[in-house]
Amino acid sequence: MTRAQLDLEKQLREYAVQYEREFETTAQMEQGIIARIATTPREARQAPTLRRDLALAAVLLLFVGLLAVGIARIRLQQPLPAHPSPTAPYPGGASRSSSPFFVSPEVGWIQWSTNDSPSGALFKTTDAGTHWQRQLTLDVGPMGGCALDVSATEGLYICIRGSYRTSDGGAHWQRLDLPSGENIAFAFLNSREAWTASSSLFHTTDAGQHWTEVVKLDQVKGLSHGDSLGWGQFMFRDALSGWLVPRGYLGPGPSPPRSSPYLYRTRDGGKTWTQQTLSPTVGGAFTDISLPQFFNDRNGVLIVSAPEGMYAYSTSDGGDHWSRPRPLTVSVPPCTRIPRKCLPVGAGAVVFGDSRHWFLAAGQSLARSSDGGQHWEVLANVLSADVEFAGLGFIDANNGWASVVGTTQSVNGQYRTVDGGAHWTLVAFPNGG
Amino acid sequence: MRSLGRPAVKLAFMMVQDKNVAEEIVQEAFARLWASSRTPAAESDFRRYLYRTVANLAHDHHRKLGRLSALPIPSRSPADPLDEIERRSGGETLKTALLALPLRERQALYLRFFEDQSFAETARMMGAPQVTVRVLVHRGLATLRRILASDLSADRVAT
Repeated sequence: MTRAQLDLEKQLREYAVQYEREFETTAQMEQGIIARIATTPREARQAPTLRRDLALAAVLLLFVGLLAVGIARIRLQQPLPAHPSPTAPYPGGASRSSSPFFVSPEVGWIQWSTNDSPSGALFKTTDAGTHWQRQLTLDVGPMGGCALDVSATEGLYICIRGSYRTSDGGAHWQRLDLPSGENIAFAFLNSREAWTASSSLFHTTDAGQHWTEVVKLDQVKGLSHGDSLGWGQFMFRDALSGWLVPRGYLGPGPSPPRSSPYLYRTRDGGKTWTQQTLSPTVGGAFTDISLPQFFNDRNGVLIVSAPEGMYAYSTSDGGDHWSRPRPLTVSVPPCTRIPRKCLPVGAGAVVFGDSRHWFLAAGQSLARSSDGGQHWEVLANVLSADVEFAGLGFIDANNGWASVVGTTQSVNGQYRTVDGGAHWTLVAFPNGG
Repeated sequence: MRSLGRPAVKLAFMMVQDKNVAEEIVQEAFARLWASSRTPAAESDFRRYLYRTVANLAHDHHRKLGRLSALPIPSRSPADPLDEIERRSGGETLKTALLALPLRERQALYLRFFEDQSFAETARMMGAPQVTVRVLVHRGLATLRRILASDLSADRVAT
């Protein structure tokens, strides 16, 4: 081992001591765990043993009772970042979240943990969530994050730790071998064609039956600033054209603004990338940039966050060129009821129903536009009093889904709207069976 | 017993860098382990399950974010002198460099150097082969060296 290696390892261990000191005791954390355990049913087992139950209970309570955790003195980051939305189906691809993934107002899938499948299961609905049919039980332990795309016949379900494919619209799923290790990032073009990044970028055109290595991640040309396919977010508009955006800042403290917004473009399916530098914002800096959202093969938009606000950049030539920044004059009331779970407004928070209908949620309010972001209407308090928006997705101008966080307990379901966000109703998720 | 609660939140925080999210993750992890009939009662096995659950929930969190956090508008509060001291002492630089690592590499380095776990135990905790963990650690250290050598703050600014 070289001296440099020894020095770095010593630095890490020294920093570990410093890191340890930053955690303090808090009773609130302990109470939260106890409360969760107290209301969480245990799944039935074939041969329950009282001794084992008592041992596990004792272990858990001791862990919780002696829990000496807390991060009170850590320089507190800003509130929870917004969850990006499941994107609406449109020509060109992006990762489709499986929480939930809807192809129409009635037909969709979700991955959900139930009492009898704590690792998760995939459920399908054909009646907008009134009924759910279990299609797949994940049997290989926690799968990590997932994304899914399914047509009437084929489909692909990619998770960080495993993948599945279907050739009958989801009635049956077949476990796939991962191309290499775990899937760190992935993007879909449609239900047959997708890319996944692990140690290399891999590509499939047959819903995961076969994968082709496009390029090893450490041999990708054209990326700089420490950006990587394995870390950033990427999407493909067709088999060859794709975009990668730089990773967001994960803390601590406020993000240092970067100068002119930029992203990367590939024209050869991901082998090589070139930087596209966008026109600077008014303040001359940016903190966050969304993936491009295409409405057809020519027209699209992306959002950039800057210290002074958000901007929209549009394209009418398939992403070859991007317009000058257009300020988005939207402001949603800051949330106050659940301060620690407030959603700050950022580039990834803008959701597109179609080219004209855009949405943005924060707290209990929803802002919506029907003219491509030029004018916004804010609908306050659209959710019930004890929940706030945690994620948002629209498949068209009217039909959308929202995940929420509750003030006192978790919510077993998501909210649905059929009138463009004016009204929301809770759709319960399956609880086993 | 003490060795499980604190590291669970420390691990969660190392991966998500948000107090609230880290707490949620640890709560959820405990709840899931409690709910599952497959959770072992032996401490060492329980610890592995807990760590794996925490790490997977952290991955879920980042996956939901699309690995691109929506960034809040920076506050205009005055700079904290302690922050500056820490930054100049190098602690902030290493911390920032760690946060630039992919989650799996960061997790592997955390278990190896923050908890002094062996490669074998780190592999068991991550649910990965030992050779994979060695690659992750090697790659993570190489990336850290490169970042620390090239001055991370300059690297962030687009040229």
